[in-house]
Amino acid sequence: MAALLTCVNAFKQSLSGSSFEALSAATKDSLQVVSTGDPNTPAGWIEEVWAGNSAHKMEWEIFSQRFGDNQNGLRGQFMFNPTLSGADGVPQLAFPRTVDVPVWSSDTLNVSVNGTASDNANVGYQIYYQNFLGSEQRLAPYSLVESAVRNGISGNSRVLGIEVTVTPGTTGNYGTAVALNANDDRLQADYDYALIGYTCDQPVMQFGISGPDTGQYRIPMPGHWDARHTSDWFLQQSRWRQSARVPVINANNKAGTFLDGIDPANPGATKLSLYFAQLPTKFTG
Amino acid sequence: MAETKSDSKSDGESFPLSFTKQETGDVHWNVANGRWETITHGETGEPNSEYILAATIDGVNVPIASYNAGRLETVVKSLKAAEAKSGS
Repeated sequence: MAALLTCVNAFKQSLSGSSFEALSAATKDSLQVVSTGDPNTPAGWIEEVWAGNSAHKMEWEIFSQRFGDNQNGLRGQFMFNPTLSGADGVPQLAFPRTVDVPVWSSDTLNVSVNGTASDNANVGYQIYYQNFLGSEQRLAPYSLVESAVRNGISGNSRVLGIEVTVTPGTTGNYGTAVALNANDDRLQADYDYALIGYTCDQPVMQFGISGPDTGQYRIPMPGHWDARHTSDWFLQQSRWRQSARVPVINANNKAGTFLDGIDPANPGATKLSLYFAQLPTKFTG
Repeated sequence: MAETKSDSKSDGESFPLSFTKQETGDVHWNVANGRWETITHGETGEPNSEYILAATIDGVNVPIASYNAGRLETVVKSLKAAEAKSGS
């Protein structure tokens, strides 16, 4: 059994409006927490929540019998910010940075929003399973990665930004996946690279990276407009929790490692730079 | 210091505004094709576009803001759907 960092996204196009209505899980995502066979120990933790709406403010909630309460559970607000050119504040990072809320084996979460009729809404969350059966990811602690960056390799700095152009789906779902090396093929064969963070040329609710090194599960990357949030996203995720959250990708898997995106408002093709630190030795976990 | 009041108030000047849609012209390197190519939408294949709000000041067209075309057109689609609903 191993740790797994992944995400779940839910969405609805053209809301009915004026009352809470359920969102559906995006393609291949499930609102059901994995079964661990132990009902009294947390199966995992929700570590981040993000939300987006195409045209107005809205309210969102995540609830179940075992998550908050079975009425509104964890209920939050999404602020629509029309002063931001085009993006209107999508995504908003709606969760406390260092407080993670447990989820329980086989529990099915409900994700709903209360918004304006005809708007498109998305809500997603990052979930971390400590003991996940059947899949393994390569996740490093920030201390190892910071040390690798500081020391360099053989007198060279080996921090690269790799550009990938990612298009979120047109209808609020995940878009077409693009290989890590489709637009920028500079990773050095056989080396491991720690994904520190990323920047993008326009806000997108969430990008995802998946491949052999992520156990084929999507690791989420909210595309916040403020690069201070994103450029060290994984380092901060790890530092806040004093636990491994930095994905490590082997260069030999570049063609089998894919990026995709999801957003309520079809923002179009988006340039994404992934900040990779080359590790001097093979990461063994 | 005593507060002073201006005797006259400027009526201000007006400037013509324009709102146009145009392609962004963004390019990226395509490894498979080995060349710089225009960025296109992953599903529709269309190039990225934006709406430009501009003002003509002293004969010069000054861009004030640009808006992602996909996002604005999603709002248009939503408003049309809402109108159709309220009309039915």
